[in-house]
Amino acid sequence: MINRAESKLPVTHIRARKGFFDLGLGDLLQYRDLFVTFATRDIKVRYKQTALGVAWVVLQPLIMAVVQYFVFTRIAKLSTDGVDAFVFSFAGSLGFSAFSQTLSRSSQQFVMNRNLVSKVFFPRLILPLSPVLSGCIDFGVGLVLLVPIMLIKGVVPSAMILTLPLWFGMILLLSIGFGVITSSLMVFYRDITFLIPLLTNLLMFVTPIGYSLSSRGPNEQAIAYLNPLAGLVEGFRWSLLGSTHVNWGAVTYGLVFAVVIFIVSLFVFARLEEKFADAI
Amino acid sequence: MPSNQLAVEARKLSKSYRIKHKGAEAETFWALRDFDLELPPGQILGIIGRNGAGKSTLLKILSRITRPTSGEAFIRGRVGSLLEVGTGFHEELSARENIYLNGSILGMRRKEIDAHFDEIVDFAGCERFLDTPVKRFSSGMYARLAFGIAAHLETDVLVIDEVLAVGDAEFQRKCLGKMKDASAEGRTVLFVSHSINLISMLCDRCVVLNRGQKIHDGDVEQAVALYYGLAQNPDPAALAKREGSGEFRSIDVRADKEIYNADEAKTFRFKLQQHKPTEDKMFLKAFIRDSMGHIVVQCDARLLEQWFHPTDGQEIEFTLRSPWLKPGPYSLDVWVTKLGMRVDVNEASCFFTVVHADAYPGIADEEATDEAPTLADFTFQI
Repeated sequence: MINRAESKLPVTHIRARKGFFDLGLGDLLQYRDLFVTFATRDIKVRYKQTALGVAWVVLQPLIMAVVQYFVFTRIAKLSTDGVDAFVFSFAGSLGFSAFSQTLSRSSQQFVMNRNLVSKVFFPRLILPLSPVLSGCIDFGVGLVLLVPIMLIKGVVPSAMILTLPLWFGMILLLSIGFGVITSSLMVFYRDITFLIPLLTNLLMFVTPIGYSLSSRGPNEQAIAYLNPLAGLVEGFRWSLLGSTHVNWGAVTYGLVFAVVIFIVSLFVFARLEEKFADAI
Repeated sequence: MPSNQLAVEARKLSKSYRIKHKGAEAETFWALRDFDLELPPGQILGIIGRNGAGKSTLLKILSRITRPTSGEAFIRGRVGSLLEVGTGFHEELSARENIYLNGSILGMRRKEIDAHFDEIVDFAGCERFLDTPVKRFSSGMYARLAFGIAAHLETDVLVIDEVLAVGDAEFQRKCLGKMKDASAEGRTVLFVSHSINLISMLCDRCVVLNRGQKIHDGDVEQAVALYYGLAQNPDPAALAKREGSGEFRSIDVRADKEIYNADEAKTFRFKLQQHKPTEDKMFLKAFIRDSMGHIVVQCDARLLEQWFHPTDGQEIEFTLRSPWLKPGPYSLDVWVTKLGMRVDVNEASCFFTVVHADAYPGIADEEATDEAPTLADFTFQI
């Protein structure tokens, strides 16, 4: 047997099973540049052969905010806690897009890169994690757009804006947790491809993006807050606008949910990863 | 040799797959079984075997793409593997971007790639196309770029599957040189190829795999002889695993002579053995491949309106009169086909060598024949 002690070179031990919760953190460290490389590749490639190019980064949350504004404020006439309805919708949309865009990119990563998964070794976990970076960039651009709109509409950001990275981070964590689970499952069941847009569409209506839950009855609220994203989006918007409704119970539930789902996702990944190359 | 000096050590590596048949019970298929290996640093190990012998499975396990079902292996140092040309390339990105992308997929840090960037570009010969999307590259330049990235990586063990077959002679020469350099620097190379010529030129040692098991490990010449032997006398189980629906199988394919002159007619004989009932008419195809695995001649019996009926005699004679083949080793693939379906694909069914032997009256240097894959029977009227 190769004697580890007598050689400077690292020894790779290849065996049938890895440890129950072996995520290969050493490999992740060695391949840390790959995380950035994948993320920049996806960003570079995403807007190739599009007429509007990078403008889509801005257009996506903007159009979503407009739709939310019309549906919930103009048609359904729901409350926005006295804040300018468009600013309210836009802030909510930014939070929700961070979740939905990251999830939709992350979930497809293994299947979209199946030739890599079956032909090259690298820590697979990098793939579903890498959309985090493009999520941050999209969010940054959205924020640059939101702040002037707020000022024009006379909404002054509160000091709570300092907590914004926390909210954004928790929304991403929730998203990436679901992303790691769904991308791993998608290797075996392509059904997930169809489920994700359906579920995010549903989620878009039940999450208080363009309306506040403050004016709804207690039963309705209780059901709405089962959605972990509801509390997180409210907290996210509150940190931007200051005066909007927040249910702190729902926020706590959202935070715990995000952390738990992320840990669970690592277990799911560790269990399924061994069979990726053979099944994909 | 003390075992702590080994670069690669495998102990009883095995990989099985469950194959589900319709209506029948699942069957276990051993792609690799009880594979042992002790490879010291700096050796170039050739791995040969027929299709489905387990070569690719072995490389996938050693490069950590898939896990073995049982057994274990130890690899000392970093592994760089190139199992397919251009894996991880993105068509829309430029050569420059792809070097960084591919390099980091293979585990290089950014500053390592910076350090080897010029060498890679030089190897690929693409300095003028650095900012061109690789989808516009010729297949040769594409292959050079892919190989260049993998070969310039600072790895201790280099694992290379049949990737040299895609390039031209110049590319193969460069790759061989690069692999020899790697070995001289003390790096270990594992190399799979169908090209016996490349294996004999490059390797110090050769492993022959047959149906998942190692049947030879050591001398390259013996390995090649064994491999040829396997081609000529397949056992019944191997015959049944051959590609195609299997009503008929070609066996006992032989060239009339081991060595042919470039300009003489080359005759091959084989038998067709019936394994399943059929009444369909079939036709035969023959392909001649050069030592790099490129098809240089294709002969399809449909073009002669010659059909083979199940009731026909089963001794076949195939003669090639032109083009003249260039000097070198060749192999013959024999196919039996029905319309729209392969009945039998017998790859590398027999081997022969062509020598020049005064095919042309004059003498000229290599430049007179280097552009085309074959020689030709021609005249100029002046």
